[in-house]
Amino acid sequence: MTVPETRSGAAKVARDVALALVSYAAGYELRFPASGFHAIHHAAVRWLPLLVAAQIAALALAGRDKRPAAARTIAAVAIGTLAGAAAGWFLFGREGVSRLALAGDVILLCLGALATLPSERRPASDMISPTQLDGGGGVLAISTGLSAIYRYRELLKNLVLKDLKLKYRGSVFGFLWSLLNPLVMILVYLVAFKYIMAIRTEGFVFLLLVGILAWTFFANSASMGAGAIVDNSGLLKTVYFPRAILPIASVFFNLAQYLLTAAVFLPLMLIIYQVRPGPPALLFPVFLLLQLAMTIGIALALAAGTAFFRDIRHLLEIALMVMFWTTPIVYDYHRVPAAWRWPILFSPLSPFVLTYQDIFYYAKWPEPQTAAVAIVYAGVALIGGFALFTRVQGQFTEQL
Amino acid sequence: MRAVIQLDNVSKRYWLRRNRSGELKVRFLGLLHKDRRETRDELWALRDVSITIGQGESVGVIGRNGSGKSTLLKLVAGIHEPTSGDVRVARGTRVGTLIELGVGFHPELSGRENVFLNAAIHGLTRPAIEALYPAIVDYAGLRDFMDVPLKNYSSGMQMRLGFAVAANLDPDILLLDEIFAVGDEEFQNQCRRTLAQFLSAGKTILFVSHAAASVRAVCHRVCLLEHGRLLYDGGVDGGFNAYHRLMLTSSPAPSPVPAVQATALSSSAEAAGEPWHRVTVGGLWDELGELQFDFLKNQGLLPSHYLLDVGCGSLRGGIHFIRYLDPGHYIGFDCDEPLVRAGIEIELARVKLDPARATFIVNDNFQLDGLPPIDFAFAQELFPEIPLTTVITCIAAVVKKLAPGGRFYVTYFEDPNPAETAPVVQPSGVVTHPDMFPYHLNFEVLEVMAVIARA
Repeated sequence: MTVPETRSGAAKVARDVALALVSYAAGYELRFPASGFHAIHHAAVRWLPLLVAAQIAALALAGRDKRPAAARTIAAVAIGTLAGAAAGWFLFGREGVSRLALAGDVILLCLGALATLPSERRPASDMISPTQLDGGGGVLAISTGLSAIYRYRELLKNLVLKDLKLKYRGSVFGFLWSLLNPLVMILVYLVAFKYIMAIRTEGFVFLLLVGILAWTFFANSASMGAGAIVDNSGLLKTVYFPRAILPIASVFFNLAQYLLTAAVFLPLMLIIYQVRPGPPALLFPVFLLLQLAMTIGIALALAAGTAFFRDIRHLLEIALMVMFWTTPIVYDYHRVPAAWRWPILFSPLSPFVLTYQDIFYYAKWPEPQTAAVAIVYAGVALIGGFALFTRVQGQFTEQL
Repeated sequence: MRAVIQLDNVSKRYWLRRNRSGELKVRFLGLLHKDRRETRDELWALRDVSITIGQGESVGVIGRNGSGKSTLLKLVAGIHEPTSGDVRVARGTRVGTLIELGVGFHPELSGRENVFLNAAIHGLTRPAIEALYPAIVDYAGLRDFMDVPLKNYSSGMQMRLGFAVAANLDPDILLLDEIFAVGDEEFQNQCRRTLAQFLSAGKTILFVSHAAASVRAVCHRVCLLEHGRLLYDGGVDGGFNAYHRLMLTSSPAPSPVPAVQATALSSSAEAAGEPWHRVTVGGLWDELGELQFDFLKNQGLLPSHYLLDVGCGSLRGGIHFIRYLDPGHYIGFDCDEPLVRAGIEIELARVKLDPARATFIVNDNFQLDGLPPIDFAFAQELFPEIPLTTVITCIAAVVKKLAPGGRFYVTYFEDPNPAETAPVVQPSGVVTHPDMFPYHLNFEVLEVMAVIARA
């Protein structure tokens, strides 16, 4: 049964504008030439709002065009990039118009254009499409998606609980088995790095644990989420509910396991290493939320892709393997020579792992650049994932 | 009446894909080898279907397999999106989709957990489910089994549980897809009772089915689909007649006679389903009117009997009787004088019958004075055209004129709703009458009418 939406149009638009501003502003942290996390122009931060406003205005203007959606998207991206480049040149000279900046621009604008649903889909009349009964009035795919999921939160909870119950029901030691996996991984890496390769790292096990737990959450969510649509084809073909709930349920299922495992191991580590948790540890929920947002976005994108191309799941396995090694889980980031640090940027999990290591083991505040990159990855993944998923979700039932 | 579901020129195309490239690898190979490339054919499940359904209506969608019925339902449910055209529902309505009972049921979970899951899939919040839970358990009659895993339930119990959740959902629009197809009779009765309750609560029902009995019991309006096109949109009996006609014209072997025909007929009734026109080629009855002629002869009509033809119209049917009966024993009654006159001049002349053999009475209010006692009276095709009150007047008047042992054969209709007799203007501009062929009034009503008439 569809659950109808009840919110006024003005509130919806305001909500969408706020979300758009936050995401764009966060996105433009990366706009400047960067080598690692340490080279963002601090002065430029003052001019960020102007850049963001210029690009959003350009997008809105292009969006008013009555031409078909593809032409409109391309026009929006082109206009926005030019506007951004012009503003960057004006503000920062040649430097502001680097290739990296332009590339970042294009990606962000494409996501922005994808993420905004075409406005002719929002009739003001009394009769609406059945898929919009859950609330089709939002401008951004992400806000309509999120509000629909909130309305179906009971279903989300039930799906997660169902998976948890199925996993642990009927097994003798139940939850203890899922603690074994990270434990064994830690032991293996410990032996390999500390004893066989004799790499000295202070507090290696602690850092390893933090990294592995965060990694397991991400990797399992991505794998399960990718299959969420194709494995539930029966459900999709017989009843309507917001499709995004399925990959998001897998993410939350893995989140529950992550938290339960961390609740056991983290205090253990703190005791063994005699580390006092300081105020920086309070940032954990914030970064957990950001990691959750990023994982949801990636799971949505993967689920949508797998519905069309089944072997994305296999590609994902390989990609995860590579990504494990480009994330500073089993090695120390600071030991990596500066020239080799750039691949680490490509793992979306890197800023999170580094942050967790900072706040728990070193008990210091994470560096602003790292935090900025984390915010960017989370925002871009979430918005982009929702945009892609919402755009193609109408075709799922035909592909399955 | 407020429209709650609207389809405007809706078409739905599926692609039949060969060499499905569900993998990047296969797609890549397809670039190199032409025969590995994916080819696709169009399958139009629906074409230019326009239907408007108002609040409180119960509409049945019938048609053969592959006619697009389930696709129509899924479009309204939001499971598929139309290729062209618009599917719209009223804002703020709750749409309940029952395409499969027990959707989401997992065998390892207990009955209680499955109920919560199933209700959540349908969009209920936790407080709502908890409030409904006792009612669901009662309805299913499975109180002692709620903590048992579903895999230990019999299939009947699973279905009862699924239907119990569905029955308590309380949506505004209910979409049903052939859920009566399975289940024992008690289950089907329960389904029907629940649907009747929904209807009386003013909900809208859209019901896809093959089973005529279920559609008749629940629906007031029927849409017939064939190859994705809407062929008929109107009353239930007309819909089923059109459906039977469809089956007859396209299947090689004639279908058995619909039950509504008199069982006294000894021959098979190919022509019973034939479209209504003057002379039909093939079949056992070449002309309209032969059917009732044969029928009345089987009932014992003799040339010496007096026959009252109520609603004789242009005498297409009457000519057989005029020819058969003794002079002056055929009495034709109608209220449309030009029509009767045309009949006399054209029809009787065509078959070279002398008009003096028959007596004609034309008036508006069934004044049948000055007639001898009537042995056989019949009204064919008249009742769809007139309101129910006029039907009562007619029956009263005729019954008074019957000889002892005389009989009045009427064709009768099931749903005494005066609106059913109004002509329907189809979207293409053609005017159809909901019922041009036999239909049923239930016998109790007829009997009461006869009693009133005699009084």
